[in-house]
Amino acid sequence: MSVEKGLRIRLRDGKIGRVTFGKTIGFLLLAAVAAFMALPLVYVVTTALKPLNELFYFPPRFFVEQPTLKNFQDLFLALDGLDVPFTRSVFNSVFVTVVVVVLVIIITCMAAYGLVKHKVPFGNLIFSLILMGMMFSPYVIQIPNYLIVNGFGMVDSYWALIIPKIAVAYNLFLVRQFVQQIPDPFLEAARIDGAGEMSIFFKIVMPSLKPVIATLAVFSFVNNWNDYFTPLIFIQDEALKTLPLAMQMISSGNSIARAGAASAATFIMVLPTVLIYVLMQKHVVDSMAYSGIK
Amino acid sequence: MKKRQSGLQKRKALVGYGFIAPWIIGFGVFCLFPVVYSLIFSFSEIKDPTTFSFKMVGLQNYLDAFLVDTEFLPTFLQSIGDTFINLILILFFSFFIAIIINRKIRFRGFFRMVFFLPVILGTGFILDQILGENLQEQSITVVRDLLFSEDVVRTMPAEFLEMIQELLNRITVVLWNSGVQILLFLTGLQGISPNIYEAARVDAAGEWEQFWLITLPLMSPMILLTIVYTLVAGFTNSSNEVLEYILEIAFQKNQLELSSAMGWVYFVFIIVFVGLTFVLMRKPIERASDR
Repeated sequence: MSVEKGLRIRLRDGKIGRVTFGKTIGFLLLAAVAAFMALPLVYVVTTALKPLNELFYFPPRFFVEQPTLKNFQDLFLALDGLDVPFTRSVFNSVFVTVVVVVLVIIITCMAAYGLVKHKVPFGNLIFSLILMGMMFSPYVIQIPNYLIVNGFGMVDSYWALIIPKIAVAYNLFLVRQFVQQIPDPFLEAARIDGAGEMSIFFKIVMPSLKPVIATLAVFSFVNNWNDYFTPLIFIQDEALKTLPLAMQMISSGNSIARAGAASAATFIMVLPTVLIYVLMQKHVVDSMAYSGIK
Repeated sequence: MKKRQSGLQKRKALVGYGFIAPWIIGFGVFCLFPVVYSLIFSFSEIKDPTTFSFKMVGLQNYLDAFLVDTEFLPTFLQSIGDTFINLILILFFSFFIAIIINRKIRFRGFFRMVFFLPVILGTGFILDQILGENLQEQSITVVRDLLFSEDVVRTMPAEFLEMIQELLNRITVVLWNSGVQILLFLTGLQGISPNIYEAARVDAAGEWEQFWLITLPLMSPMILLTIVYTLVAGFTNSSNEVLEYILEIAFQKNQLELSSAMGWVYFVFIIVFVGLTFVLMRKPIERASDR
């Protein structure tokens, strides 16, 4: 029997916890690194709240002295010189990203399920193609990609931002690992009970993939929300431009008033990604705890 | 009986293809096809940039990449070395952090969130645009101001300070690229049943033994996944120097054929390298995790 070490303390919920030396060191270390990593985010928040004169302090200050919401007001109401209101870009980004995330989740899980649980001929060949696709940087094939998207007549439409982004090799690789962990007897039992393929997929496979779906949702949301390159190449129509492009336009405007609007726009750009992560992260933990897979 | 079995299997395979089809079509059209397209470009010379009509020139572009272009090979080697050093540092760092977070430490939810932040903030591409200055550099500046007061700078030799600066840069790169890896390791750690540790404790195994005999073997498939992920992420990262150079050749110097050839050299290297890693490590790892 091992002897329990450390100081006994009473936690807030009344349980007895133990503070060991190792745990304390670990905690302090985490806290130091975490503080270092949270700096940029804190900076984004404080900058968004800075009044104009504080934005131009030299050397720049980290914290805000007289916080104000005027930057947001400028961004949504008084932004002159932009043909399209900022809210339209927000809508474009939200619409495109949400559609992509939903399609990515359904189509990737379907493919992983078909690939792993149906023992399709050439399954290994398909898998090696996926592995190879992961290693070919999307940046290198931008021009051929443009030729193809153009060939479909999708340039300057939402389609150009949605369709090419659904089948991502890395996503399938990730989900495949988790589909492998679903026990075959589960699926066989459902089949014997007369469940159709579709209901097996939606009622058994998808729920048991919850943790990885949450992960997938976070990944593809962030990637598409922050994607600057794709809309830059495929979208010329001002009304269809997404947030990253709109932000670039705001910050490249040379009027001083724009600086405030730009800092508020940065905040708005970062907020949803942080929010979705905070929401999904709880979901990841929960579903990990409940899943009967392992 | 046997025939009926195979008919059933055929049906099953067909259903399987049905599930895979939407993904495969998307992948084929928007990934595989452009890749083949760029392979053709790499062996050809574009006659007319408006219609992209071309003529085959054999290996000319590949020879140019290595013999005529003096910058390609050094950039290439430099970037490989960098990725490799980062891989090792990222693996150790993220495994370490994941283990600390996985213990019942206070505010673990908060920590888990913070370490994933860099992934959420993106590669800094967007934020760079706005803040006009690299976020990573800003974090470094804050720390440097804390560490290097004027007195320190006056008393220390310049080489030493440069070394520390270099180290700080490296640490920042590692911190900012470990988010996914920490998450992967945490997912793996939480998948290990507490019963196993319970049983080990009953058998009087200490923490250290538990780590080497339970955690590490059971985590080894996840470690392989993380190695592959880190390599691929490092090699295909948009801030990778080789890729930046290849893009520069394509978009600023308008030599699409040469940049396609370079892209393919790089791609084949990555495939061989990551493929070898995967093949060489899979067997020992399967053995370790089966124990």
